[in-house]
Amino acid sequence: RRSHESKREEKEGGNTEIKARIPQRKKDIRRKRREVFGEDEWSKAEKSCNGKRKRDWKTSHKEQKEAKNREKQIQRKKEKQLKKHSSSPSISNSSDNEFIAEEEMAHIMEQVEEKKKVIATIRNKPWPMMKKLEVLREAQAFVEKFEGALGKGKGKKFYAYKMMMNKKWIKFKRDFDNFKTQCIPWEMKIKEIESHFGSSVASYFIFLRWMYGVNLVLFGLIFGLVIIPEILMGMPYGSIPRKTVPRAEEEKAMDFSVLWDFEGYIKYSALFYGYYNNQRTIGWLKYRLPMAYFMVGVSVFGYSLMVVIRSMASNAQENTGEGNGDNFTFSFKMFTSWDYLIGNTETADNKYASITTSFKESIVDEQESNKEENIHLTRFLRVLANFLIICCLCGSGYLIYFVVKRSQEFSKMQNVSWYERNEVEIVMSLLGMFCPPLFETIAALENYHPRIGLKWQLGRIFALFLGNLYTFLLALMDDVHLKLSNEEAIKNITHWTLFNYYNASMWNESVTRPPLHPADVPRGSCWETTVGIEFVRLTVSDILVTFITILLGDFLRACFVRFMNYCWCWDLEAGFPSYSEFDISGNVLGLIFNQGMIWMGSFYAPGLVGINVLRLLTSMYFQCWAVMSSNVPHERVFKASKSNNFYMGLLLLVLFLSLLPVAYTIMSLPPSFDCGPFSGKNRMYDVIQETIENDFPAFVSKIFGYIANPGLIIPAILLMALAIYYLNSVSKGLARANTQLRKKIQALREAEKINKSNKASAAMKSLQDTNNFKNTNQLQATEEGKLCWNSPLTPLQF
Amino acid sequence: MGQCIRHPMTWEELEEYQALTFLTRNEILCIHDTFCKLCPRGKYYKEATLTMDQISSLPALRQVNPFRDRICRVFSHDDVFSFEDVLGMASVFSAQACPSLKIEYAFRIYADINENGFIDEDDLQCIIQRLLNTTDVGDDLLKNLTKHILGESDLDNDHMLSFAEFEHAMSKSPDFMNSFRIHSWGL
Repeated sequence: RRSHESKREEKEGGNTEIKARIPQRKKDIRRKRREVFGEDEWSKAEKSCNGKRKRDWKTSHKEQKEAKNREKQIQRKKEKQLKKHSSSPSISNSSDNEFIAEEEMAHIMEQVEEKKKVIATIRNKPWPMMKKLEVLREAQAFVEKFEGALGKGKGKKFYAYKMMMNKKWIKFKRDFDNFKTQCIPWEMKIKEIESHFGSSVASYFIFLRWMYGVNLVLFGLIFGLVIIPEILMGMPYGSIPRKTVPRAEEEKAMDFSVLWDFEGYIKYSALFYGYYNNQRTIGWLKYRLPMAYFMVGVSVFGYSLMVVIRSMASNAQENTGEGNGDNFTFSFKMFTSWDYLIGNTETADNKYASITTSFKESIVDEQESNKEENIHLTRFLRVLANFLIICCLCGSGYLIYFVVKRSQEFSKMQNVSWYERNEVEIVMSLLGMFCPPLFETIAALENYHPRIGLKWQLGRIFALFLGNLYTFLLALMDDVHLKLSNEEAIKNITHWTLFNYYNASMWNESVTRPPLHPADVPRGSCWETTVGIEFVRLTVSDILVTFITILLGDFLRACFVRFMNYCWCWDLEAGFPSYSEFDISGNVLGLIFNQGMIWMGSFYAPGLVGINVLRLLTSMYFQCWAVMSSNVPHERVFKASKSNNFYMGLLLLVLFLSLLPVAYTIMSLPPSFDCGPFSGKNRMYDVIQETIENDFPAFVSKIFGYIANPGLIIPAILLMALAIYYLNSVSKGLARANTQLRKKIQALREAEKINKSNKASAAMKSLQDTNNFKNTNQLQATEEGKLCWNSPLTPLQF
Repeated sequence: MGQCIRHPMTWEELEEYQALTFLTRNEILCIHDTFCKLCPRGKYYKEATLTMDQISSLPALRQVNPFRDRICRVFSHDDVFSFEDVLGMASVFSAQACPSLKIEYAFRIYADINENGFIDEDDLQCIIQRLLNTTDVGDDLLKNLTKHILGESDLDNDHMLSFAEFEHAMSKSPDFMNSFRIHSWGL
């Protein structure tokens, strides 16, 4: 006991010592910081005393017990003090004792965890910085002290090690986060656009950047796993027929016009399906190229699906509300409509104007929902508009079909002009450019609310693009079937040619003739490469049309308005042409459909993804420049928030729709007999069967045989359908419970309100009754009554 | 406008600020640079303070923001900004900040005139005037809007929005986090 008391005195003495030293230190405004320094000094002093104390403890067991009890008492006192304001001297009391009891240990660990939680969540607290700093430093000091103590002694080394790894991990995570934010490309550009144009225009660029990331990953997959192995380890150009330009085309193979059509040398390069050899393994690594080609094709879709769904899920989680945002239209408009990112006056003025119109619109909406106009006329006009638009869609579909058929005839002729060669792409691009404004003018008949009208417009453009794409595919399918039917004939021709060549040689010379030059071997028409070429040409023409539209439609228009304004009759800037606004939905739809084409074509033209990556890269810089130089901020702003998920949903739909044709062709069409990695097989997916049989042990193929049994697959599908039905009904039940709870809360509140008003009126009445006998208190009572009335949350007191 | 002493931040201070705010290392250093550019000559950055006028030269708080004076009021202490006040402000407006923090400070910014801890009708009218950038708003428009807003969000019918009601409404908004953001604090 005595030693303990003397120890305490020591400490207090030490404390005063340290406090006396403070004025000499660098001036610091925070008291706690001084105490932290004091504690550090402390622990050094303690460690020197520690050795001495150890010996004392070991000698007297009784003293040990008593001291332990003292410790516990002090510990408890210290805890209470910690809750109020942790003062340092008492903290260090039991810190450095190795023989701390187990329960105290657990207690201390709890406290350490608590303090760690405080450190982790301190940035969420709405306190001023100084207070946060104090709390942080104190918590950090506490944690350090106790972790140091807890880490001593046998068996605790692991704990200390764990804590150190934890700290390093947190630091590493923070540094990694910092590094990640630095790595994100184009961040400054997008921020600049955001401050000029607001967040909805910037959301297009963020979407573009995300697409670029996805395409980069896909390109990495395809390039690394398919193209590079074939180029490095496969047969070189010119060694086998499929890799050589046929003799007939050789002289023109290097012409620019031929190359532009992706014929000639480009057709017989690694960019297209036909180049790949069907050898089961290539090179010294025994790389299974056909298997890799198939699996990469499948995983392109798998990865895209995963990434799109993950993005949709994270968007959906951000909408924490239960989708009842409609209940708060005015509150949202009030508190969230000002975009704090806006940094220049022009955008701000536009924002003010749009807020004004949106306020007025909402009020008018409220009133108009009760008005009834001439409903029959409106209905008739809407039906008429829809009929016209369906006619347009059918017309455009037929036009594309007709043009594709014509192009097939052209390809058989010689000396076709440039127009006839590119007719299909030109027609599709023109349709894509002129139909949407046509739809808009027809939609003026319908007289919808602008937001609903926009949704209809987007839906119609979507239908237009989809219809065009599928008609194009159907026409292409006809071509493919034609080619396939000719294959038998060509197979025979090839066989007989080779046969004759070798037989002829045996008669003429004793030395075996060199094999037939690959360029001379008669070649089948490789339908997969043709399909790939069509998609590549479509993509390239789409790129050109987009860029030219931006140049002409935006940049030249802006130049014209700017420079001709001086010598023109009316004000060009305010009047007819004026500067264009950035068409967000048009651009986003264009991006989505471009990606759909890439997904469709990448199986038959592995190089297509590379072309797309280049396109997205240049598009980013080009469009950033175009937006900043030729566009003005929107006059009427639609929030981009929920539309994020809408565009992701569209992307998902397009992904499925582009998966269908590829899956159909893989499953049902036989591959060409002399080109591509699957040549010679009956169906493309046979490569899986082959690999399982030859490369895996026997039981694996048995397992796959069982799994692929329809008897197993159909129940699995039924099970999944049942699960969907069950989850659907669960979520409906939860939503119902939610609304009921909310109604309950409101009813409770109403009841409380009524209760309080009843009580208040009863109180007033009783007070007034009693006051009829007491004149002096009358004034006070009415005042009391008023007070009770105005503060509904405080309990009434008589 | 002068340069304060080129006191680079120590590593520990940078780590501390990173733990206390939602800002990345580069953002903190950027704000440090900006602050040093604005603060008076020869002063240590931790002791220097900026007046509201000096703060208004930041791009985010220039004339265009209708709530700039409210922001300055809420985040400053005694009408001056220390370096840590600016950091606190940047943290609340950063994109990584948690919703509860933003809602808390949004409430303080919007609870305006009487600063009674509630958003009452006068506050709402003041906000509307700022949003429309004019003090000449029709009376019936004002009344209409106020009525609608209170009808939607005021759950206990006391004609004021308390913090709980404000939080309840804003947590359902999909736009709140996106609009209540300021990116760059560089000059």
